[in-house]
Amino acid sequence: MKTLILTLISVSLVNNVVLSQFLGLCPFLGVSKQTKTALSMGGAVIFVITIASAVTNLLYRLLVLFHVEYLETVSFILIIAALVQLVELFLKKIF
Amino acid sequence: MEKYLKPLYNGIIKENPTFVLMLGMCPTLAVTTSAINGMGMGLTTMTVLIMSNFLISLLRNIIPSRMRIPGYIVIVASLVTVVQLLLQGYIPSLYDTLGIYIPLIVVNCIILGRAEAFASKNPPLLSMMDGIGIGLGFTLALTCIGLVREILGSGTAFSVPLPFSFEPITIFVMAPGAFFVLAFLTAIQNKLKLPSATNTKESSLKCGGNCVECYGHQCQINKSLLKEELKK
Repeated sequence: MKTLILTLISVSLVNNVVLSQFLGLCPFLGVSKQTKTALSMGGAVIFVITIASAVTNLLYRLLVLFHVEYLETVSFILIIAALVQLVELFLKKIF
Repeated sequence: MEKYLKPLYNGIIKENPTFVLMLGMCPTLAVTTSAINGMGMGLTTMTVLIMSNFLISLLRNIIPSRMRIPGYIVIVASLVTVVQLLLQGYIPSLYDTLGIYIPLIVVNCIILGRAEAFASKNPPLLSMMDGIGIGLGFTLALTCIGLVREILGSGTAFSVPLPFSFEPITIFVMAPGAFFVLAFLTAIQNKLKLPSATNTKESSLKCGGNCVECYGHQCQINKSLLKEELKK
């Protein structure tokens, strides 16, 4: 439990993904003009990353089982692209 | 021959990916802690860009329009995997420095942007020259930013200590320094009214007149806007 809370604080505040690790700058520069778009982008990213992390972890274990770790980049990208399309459909249905 | 040299001028000066198009900011800010790192990242991206432009241009008539984005992504991801394995084997020091930013070349906006804007509409040799031009522009931009940050932040240039000594401003080689340098560059561009992403002239065309970004989805939006204009 302590590890989870420490991880949460570390990734969101100490090693902030955008400001400290420089990942996701293109959307950051694009949506941070208005609070509304920033919040929507944040919500979508939370949704995609949670599901994508879980699925890609399982997929990576499968790749290691077959000794084909070099396929991780291609397979992760395809999974994430599919999930983003899913999120788009989801958002269109709800909003 | 003239036709093949035009993309070089285009990529380095007129449509420089960092200063004009403002694409691929993640690696720009993250790996430019020193000039050598910036140059290494730029050359790696240039290699991937040249090969991906060439391949996508060869396949441009075969990939159906609706499947272009997943198709391009698979091609670029495979190329980056190859480059990553080669770097890991032959230049391990560069591999360790660039770290996770090598797989991030796959989603670098420059690669996909040029694939859609140029390689999908032009013959292979021309696309390869465009890849070389944009890649050189990117490498030059990264090396310059890396040089500025290295001189100010650690008092060395290309790992050679400078002849005059001064107390280095360490913040420049850390995260905030990158944002500072980016802000200064954009401020200089705005002041001198140089062409850049933040400095496009107001155009009388309904579509905004931004021809650089007129491709893919934006192209369809622009076409419908212009059609409405003609109807009036």
